[in-house]
Amino acid sequence: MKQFEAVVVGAGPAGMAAALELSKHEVNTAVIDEAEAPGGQIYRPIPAAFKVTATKRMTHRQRTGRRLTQTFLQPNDKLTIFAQSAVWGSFEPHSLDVLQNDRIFKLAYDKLIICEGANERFIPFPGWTLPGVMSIGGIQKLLRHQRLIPGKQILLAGSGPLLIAAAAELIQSGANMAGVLEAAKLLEGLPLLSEMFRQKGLLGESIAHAIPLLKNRKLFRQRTCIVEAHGKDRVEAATICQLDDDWRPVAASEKVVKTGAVGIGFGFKPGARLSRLCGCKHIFDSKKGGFFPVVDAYQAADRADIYVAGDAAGIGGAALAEIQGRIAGLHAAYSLGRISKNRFGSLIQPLLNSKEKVARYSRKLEQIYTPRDALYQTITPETIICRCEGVTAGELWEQMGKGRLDLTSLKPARLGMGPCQSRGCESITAELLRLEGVDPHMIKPLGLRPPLIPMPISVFEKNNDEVCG
Amino acid sequence: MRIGPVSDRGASLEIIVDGDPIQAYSGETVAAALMAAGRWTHQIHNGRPLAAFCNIGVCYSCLMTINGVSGVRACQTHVADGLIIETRRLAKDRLK
Amino acid sequence: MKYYDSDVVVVGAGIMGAFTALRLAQRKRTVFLLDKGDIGRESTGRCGGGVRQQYRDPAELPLAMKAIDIWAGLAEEFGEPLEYRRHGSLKLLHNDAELEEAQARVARERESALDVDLLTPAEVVDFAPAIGSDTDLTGGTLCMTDGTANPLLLARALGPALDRTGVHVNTHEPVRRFIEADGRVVSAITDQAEYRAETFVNAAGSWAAGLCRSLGLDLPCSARKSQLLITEPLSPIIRGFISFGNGYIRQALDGNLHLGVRGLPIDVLEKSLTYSALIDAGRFFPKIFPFIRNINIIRGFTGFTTWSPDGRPIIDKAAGLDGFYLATGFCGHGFCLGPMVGQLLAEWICDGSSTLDLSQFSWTRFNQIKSNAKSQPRED
Repeated sequence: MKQFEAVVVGAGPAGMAAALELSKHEVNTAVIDEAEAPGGQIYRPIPAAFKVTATKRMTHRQRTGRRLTQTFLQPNDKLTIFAQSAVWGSFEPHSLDVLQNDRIFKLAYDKLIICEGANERFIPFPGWTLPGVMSIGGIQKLLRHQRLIPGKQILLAGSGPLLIAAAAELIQSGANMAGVLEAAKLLEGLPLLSEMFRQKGLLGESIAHAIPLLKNRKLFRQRTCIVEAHGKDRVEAATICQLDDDWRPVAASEKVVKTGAVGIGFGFKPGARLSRLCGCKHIFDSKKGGFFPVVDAYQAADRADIYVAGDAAGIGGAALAEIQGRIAGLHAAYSLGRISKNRFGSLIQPLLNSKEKVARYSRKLEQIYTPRDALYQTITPETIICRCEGVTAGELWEQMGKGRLDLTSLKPARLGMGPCQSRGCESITAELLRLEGVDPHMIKPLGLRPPLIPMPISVFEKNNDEVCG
Repeated sequence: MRIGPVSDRGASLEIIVDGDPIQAYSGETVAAALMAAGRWTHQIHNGRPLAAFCNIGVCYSCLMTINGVSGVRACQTHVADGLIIETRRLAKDRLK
Repeated sequence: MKYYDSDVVVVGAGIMGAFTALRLAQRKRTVFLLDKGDIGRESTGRCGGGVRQQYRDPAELPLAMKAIDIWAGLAEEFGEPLEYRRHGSLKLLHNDAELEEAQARVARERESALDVDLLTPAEVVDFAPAIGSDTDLTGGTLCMTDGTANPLLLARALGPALDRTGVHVNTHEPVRRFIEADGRVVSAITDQAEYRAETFVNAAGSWAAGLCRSLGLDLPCSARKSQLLITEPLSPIIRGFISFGNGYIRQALDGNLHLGVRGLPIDVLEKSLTYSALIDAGRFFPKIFPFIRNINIIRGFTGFTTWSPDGRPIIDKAAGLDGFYLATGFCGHGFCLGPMVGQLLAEWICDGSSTLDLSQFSWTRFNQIKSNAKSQPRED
């Protein structure tokens, strides 16, 4: 088993920042990341095979990402990077089981920093599983990294900054937009302005996103959502609907819009997979997107020697992720005896101050853009909740009506039994439980066991020279 | 549809999708290449068509059979010359 | 301390305890069914799902053959789907010694009117084309009235069925010990209450031995951890319940394959999936089912099985202590028997005797004596 003093899982902004901080203090560190190149989702580079022709000036975010990534990739004898590697289990204390191509191996750690990032949050509606309906982030990724616009007309619906950013990029790329539907009101976003001044580049970025939308004002509708996607084998049209101030769909306002692709999303939720597998305590909170790990000011989880940083600890964006990564890395280095208590105190304080400053923005985002309960009325009994297995809301409500009011009791209804291992359906089902009156504090996540990702049996056939037990 | 000059992409190559040769470019994912070719069904699960949704490899809606291996995420797989891709069809007899 | 009085207290709401309670209540007894957790959440809800008559200890065969008749009507009785199917059980034979043993066993089972057949290797592959035709087999035994059911659905269906029959079910209330007085068991103690009754049934599976100790009774059973790996759903490819030397496989109705790997003897009752289970899957399954190497495992779970020293269950009254029955030691193949064991215990308790002879399942065959506590599996 390869032994490292620290292992960082995830090479997005939090992971890279944590690893750099650790290696700066001479901690022998391994970084595990699934992609070929670091950057996570937000700083993901374009495919190596693609060429970059002259582009417009980089934004502050892009410059930050490039700087961080380049520093991360510099030769560093305290940093070992395992790219195209995924953690699939943790069978022994202080160790991780990793899959790289078709090899499996174990890494032992003294300190673990989990930076597994976030996934988007959705509110289902009839037809949302039709081909052509995608996540807003997914459409943005296709645009940025595959130079692809997924359809002749695109309708975006949801809430929050990602909706606006993706819309702006699509418009600028020449996409034919069928509409940009924001559930919140524009003016409700005003409190964010003051926070934008506190984070370098954020204001400029927001203005840059707003301009294409202002130029195409007709596309933008506030207090509007999608209530149904139509099509046989692919989405062809969508029914959109106005919302009242409680985000309740106003039936009389329904309208059908033709569209070839739909992007949906209401912000993000923490990944919360490895942190759960490692046994960290998690709490359910709709404002945070779902289940999230409980961490202290230094990003330390309730499990000894484990930290969670970045969006995995609660959605906050790239800048906050980087700060949290540094905090976790610094505290881990201190716990390993690399820094004196005084030195730690002086180094950590500015980071904690920055964190507090930047975190205000994400807290305001939560207040403004967390979907309000009435919007969940788009979920009808026929609406599929578990995409993998086709389990409908009606089937789940029937079970809940029989007193099965926790996620584990809903498993016999096939919830979470498909290849995505409940990634898609767990949070939304937890929301349904909450809406049925279950106290959020009592909503426990499903127990997670290895394998954390689907594992082909061939991997175990090839790797059975390392047998235990 | 693809945007930007073709010369910005990687080398042109051919993948086989359900027996049909489809042009793609090095660096593209299977999901993107299929979408560009107007092929929007990646798997049929008990009669339900499914295709890429999250595009970051967590939703498993884009599973296809690639080079004989079932259940491979199209959004996480890069095209290669001669890659054999099939729409994954899953028909389960589910007792009602 | 609260106390409750009833005719019977059953400890353990797995398949054995639940069916015993059900049948007793249907015969108008007042019954308390107690469990440390939820109904059917231990061995019953975590088993391989085989509902099988063949290749059992000969003493179990009459019970199994009657049990499947009950299984045939259970979904209707419970009003809930159980996915019970009689699509066969197939046992693979790997060498000449196994073939010889199977020939003798099949002859004996057919004498009891079981519809079991000995197959040649070619016939095995015919029944299960997923088996590689060049697999090293000497044959197989096939019983087409055997089959499978969905353990989770069975566990889920028990709750409402128990409620409808008027069993008082208290879940999440572990029994800590039994109390005896004047040569009979008089109560079961939980943290919340004292349950007094004429008769007690210990159907607590891997926890049964610990409870017996509170009465100074020795139950010579040991625990093993069973491990199951589940694949992504597939189009139908495996029929029936197929078992071989180092594991078993079945395909659930929704398409997932369930791979059972070798059980592990354990001292501590903890449920973590072991690395060795996954290695076992890779080591043993592709050799027999070549298609499986390209299939993904998406989850796994474990459960405990309770083993008696001779591999045969213990279904008996305590000797020298009145009012105490025991049903455990099913060695990982109690799922089929459960409905019948419940019926027989109810008969014994109500009528003083059961319609099938249970003497082969006696506790005294192990020289059951009152003894002091000895080392037994602890729960973690």
